[in-house]
Amino acid sequence: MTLFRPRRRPAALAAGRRGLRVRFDSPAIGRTVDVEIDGHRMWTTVVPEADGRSAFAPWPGALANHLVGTAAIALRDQRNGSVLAEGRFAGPVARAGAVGLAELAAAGQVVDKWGKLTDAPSDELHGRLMSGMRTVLADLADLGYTAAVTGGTLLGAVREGRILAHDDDIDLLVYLGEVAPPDVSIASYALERRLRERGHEIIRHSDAHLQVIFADAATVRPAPTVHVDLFLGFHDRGVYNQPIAVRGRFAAEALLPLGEAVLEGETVPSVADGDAWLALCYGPSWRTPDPAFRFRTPSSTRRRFENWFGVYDLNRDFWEQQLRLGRSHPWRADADRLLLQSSPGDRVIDLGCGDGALAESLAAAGRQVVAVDYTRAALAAASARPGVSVQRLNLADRRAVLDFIADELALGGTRHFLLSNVLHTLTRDTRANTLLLLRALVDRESTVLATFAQNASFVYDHHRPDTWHLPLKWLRAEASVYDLDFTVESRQLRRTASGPRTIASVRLYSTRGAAVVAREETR
Amino acid sequence: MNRFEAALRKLRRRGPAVPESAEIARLREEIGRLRAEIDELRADSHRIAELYDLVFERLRDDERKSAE
Repeated sequence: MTLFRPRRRPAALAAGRRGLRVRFDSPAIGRTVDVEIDGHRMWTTVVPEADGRSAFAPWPGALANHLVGTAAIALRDQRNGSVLAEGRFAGPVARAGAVGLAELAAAGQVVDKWGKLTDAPSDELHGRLMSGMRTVLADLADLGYTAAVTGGTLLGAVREGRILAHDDDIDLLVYLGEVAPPDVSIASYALERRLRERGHEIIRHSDAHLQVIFADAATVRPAPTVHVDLFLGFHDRGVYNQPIAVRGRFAAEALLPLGEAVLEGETVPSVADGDAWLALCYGPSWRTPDPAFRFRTPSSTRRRFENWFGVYDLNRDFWEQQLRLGRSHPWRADADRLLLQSSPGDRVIDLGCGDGALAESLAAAGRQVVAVDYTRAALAAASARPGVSVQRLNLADRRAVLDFIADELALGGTRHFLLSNVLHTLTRDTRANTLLLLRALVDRESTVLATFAQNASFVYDHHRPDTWHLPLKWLRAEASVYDLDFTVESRQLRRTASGPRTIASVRLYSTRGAAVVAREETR
Repeated sequence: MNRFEAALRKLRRRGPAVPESAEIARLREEIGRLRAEIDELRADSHRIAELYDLVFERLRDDERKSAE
């Protein structure tokens, strides 16, 4: 029998390149833990049961680019706040400009429930969220929509009467009644227009998910935004649908007339039977807090929602982050090449302009440049450059692409295109929209220059679009569907953040008459 | 052929550990085909919604402009 038991010390934790490992006898095993970096909570995870062996928890994908420098790591029990394991991360020495784990923690960054890096939730953030929610709810009521709190916001209201501690957004439901899916899309376009008319900035995630952005002009840190998510709910042949993940039996009588819930001391609208909605969304154990909760959407539901309503906001956060961290390295030779093939006064559309450095050099040489991108950080950076006019366009959103085409056709004239470091970072569907745009706007006088990585990256990561690649034969096959073809102007080995890449420079042209001209020129 | 394509080709050539009957293989193929067809129909209805909205919004715009 032990008469004197020393205070139990936290178990050792090993932090490597792939993740965190605790010993087989660690009290952290099987627990939901907050992972703290230098004393700041960065994410929550479950340390898996390990069947008598050491247990391993991988780094979140969002941290893959930040595993440099050193930092203290602790696993803190979600239930009682005690530290269960401690260790130290010692990665490669951070190069100048690199942002390591310690810097991220010091900057108050956390990995959110979607696995993305974002500002840590705080009382100040929650105050701004409440203010944003009030504004949006008032506007929606004014416009005649049926709106209520939903998702994590409803969960917080019902379970704790407040915004959940780790929540960093507000979720609202806009209920459309019994409608067909195409009518949901049409309703969402109208909703976006009406909210824009009221001065709101909207980001479209899909035709059933809009995001109202509230930027805080008083804060000096880049992109300090809060957002209110709007999810369009509807009944389709009696089945309730509410993308991103909710689909099932939920009668209209359980939804209407709207009831009330209390959030941060305020009365907010809620579906009539909030408990039933929460069970449908989070499962029967929704009352038990689980900060490591992740949606597991059945593939049939995911396919249904993605095909009905599209997926528009893929990888935007990655590019926002790249620009915020100063990781944009424009390929200046691409702008120089386009200058050689155009004349002063020509209209140039820089598709995927990034920080706008190439657009600026084109403008400085007398071109009328329209810099186009879908990330907020890119548009902010490009709009600060002299001579560059900026336009937001999400190439994944075909409705927006068609709108852009119609506007350009109304303007008339010839325009050139620059797609520097863009095509290989797009999904196939988004590239199809881009080719659709080119087919509509390219004429015999147009020059379309594109540069992209044609070989696979050694550090390929599905979550890092800069590590994707586009072989020439894929592009040729995809372009031919849109009456486009290309000639290869050069191939170069370039050092990039995704390793050494073979960068192809191609000139695209329309095969409806211009093919002969382009071939003659390249000879 | 790059090394990814070569690896993929090798995996495809291997086939399943337990051979399945021709009928099951045919049904699997049929399910895959039907799924793709359903996806296509849903995406088509999405496309119709986009075009519908675009056309009517442009018409409304023209009407507004001519009224001014």
